[in-house]
Amino acid sequence: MISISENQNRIIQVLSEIFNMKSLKVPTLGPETVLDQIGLESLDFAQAVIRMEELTGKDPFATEVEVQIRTLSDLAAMYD
Amino acid sequence: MLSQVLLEETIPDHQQAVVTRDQSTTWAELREQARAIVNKCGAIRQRRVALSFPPTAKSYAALAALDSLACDIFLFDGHLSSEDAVRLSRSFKLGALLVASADDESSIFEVHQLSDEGVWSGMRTVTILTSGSTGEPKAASHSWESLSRPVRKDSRHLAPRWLLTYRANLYAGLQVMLQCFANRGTLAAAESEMNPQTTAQFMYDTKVQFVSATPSFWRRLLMFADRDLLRQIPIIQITLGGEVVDQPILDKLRQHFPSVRLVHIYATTELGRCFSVSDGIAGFPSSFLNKELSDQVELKVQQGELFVRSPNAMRMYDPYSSDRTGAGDWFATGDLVEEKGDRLYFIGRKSDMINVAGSKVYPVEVERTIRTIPGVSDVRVFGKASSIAGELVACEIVPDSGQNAETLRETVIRVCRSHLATHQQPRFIKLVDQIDLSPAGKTLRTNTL
Repeated sequence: MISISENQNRIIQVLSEIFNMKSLKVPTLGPETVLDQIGLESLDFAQAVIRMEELTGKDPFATEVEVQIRTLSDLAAMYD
Repeated sequence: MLSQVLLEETIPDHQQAVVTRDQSTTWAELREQARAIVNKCGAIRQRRVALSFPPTAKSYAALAALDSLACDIFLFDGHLSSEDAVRLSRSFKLGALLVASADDESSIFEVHQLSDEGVWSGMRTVTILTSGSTGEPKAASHSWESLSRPVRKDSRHLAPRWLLTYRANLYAGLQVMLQCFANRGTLAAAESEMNPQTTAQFMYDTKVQFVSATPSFWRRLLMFADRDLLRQIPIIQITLGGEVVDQPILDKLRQHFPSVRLVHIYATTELGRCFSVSDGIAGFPSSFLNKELSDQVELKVQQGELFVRSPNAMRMYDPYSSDRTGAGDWFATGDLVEEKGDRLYFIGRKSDMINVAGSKVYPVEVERTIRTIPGVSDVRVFGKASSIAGELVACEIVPDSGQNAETLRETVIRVCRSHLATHQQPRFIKLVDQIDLSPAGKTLRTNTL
């Protein structure tokens, strides 16, 4: 059983919402999911960042920090 | 202009002219295609003609051919359905519509003949359609001369390789193409659907040297694409435009590409290219105001708004479009600027336009679509700030009494998806009891959910 952190769980929820909104099948999402490969468009990603801000009160992208994101857990770590 | 470049014999035949992900076309092939279209389409000489314009070699061949046939050319988005293209052609009283046929090499274009044609301008215009603030398309008529004036011949970089990231049918896309072709270069046309890693790979494979793109394009690329791969692309110059260019993106690009020439450009469809800045600092020097810049462009600020007088401007709006204002002398850009020290910075739009990753969205247009949905009593559309895309579209909807909230929300999503472009579709939908108005009785667009 892989443990999923609170922020990983939030991201999974937010991404599922976005796929549902687009009437697309929600892909299997987990910490190791590579974000570039699940058909997420750039505006979907922007939407997810706003939703995460609503849930966590944080926007790690607002400060233009140097980040490179590959997996869902990379993204979640930015909110930890 | 384009016909001279493309139909001229001096360019090495074997050199690539246009490269897409699935196709590479040499100058010889492009010239051959252009000639074939000239020969086939003699009947539309000196007429008002629409060209559906996806970023492919065929499109450029057809554009050169229509130039050679002295047509008034109207460029349509390549994604437009053929019914919409025909409807739009009729509304501008065009005589014909050219649509590239999928893969059929023998007949490169389908020509739809239309009746009830407007009067040819007599001077070979190129008309660019942009959505206006009321949702009616604005038809900015340029001449080949106004489009080519900002183009620079660059003797230092022969046969440059340019990356096209803008929509090919709009002003920025045409500028990139002309700049590339005037220098006998190779145009690498990226598709907007490409994901960042594929885009980076495409840039690497095509060895692009000149990249003209929005800040949003770069933010996304730097965030998601493999940095080592990006560093191996032989970029000489990065030109930013289409959105406000802020200091963080300039710094970030400087950091990743230390030896690249970094330029940001101010241009609009109507005014054409106005000025560029290459000192790596956001905004532009106050010394640009009230004097003649290159291309004889002049700038002034009135009540915080930037005004421009430019010989690169369009000639006029097309006489058959709803907006018939002439280009005039000084042109209000709608862009608000603020002076800090000896620098002017862009602080926003005077209008309500929402800028989604460089694409314009007019709230009125989206509201109009949502208002047609049964069960919607009122709606307000506005931009929600995004650190990734600049803004995203959000809306508040007042449902009719007795409406099921979830059902209505689903209907709104479905209708918007089938009637609006991706960037226009609301990403945030909130059902509310009432919509607040400004003291002047107008729908507020600036506050957030």
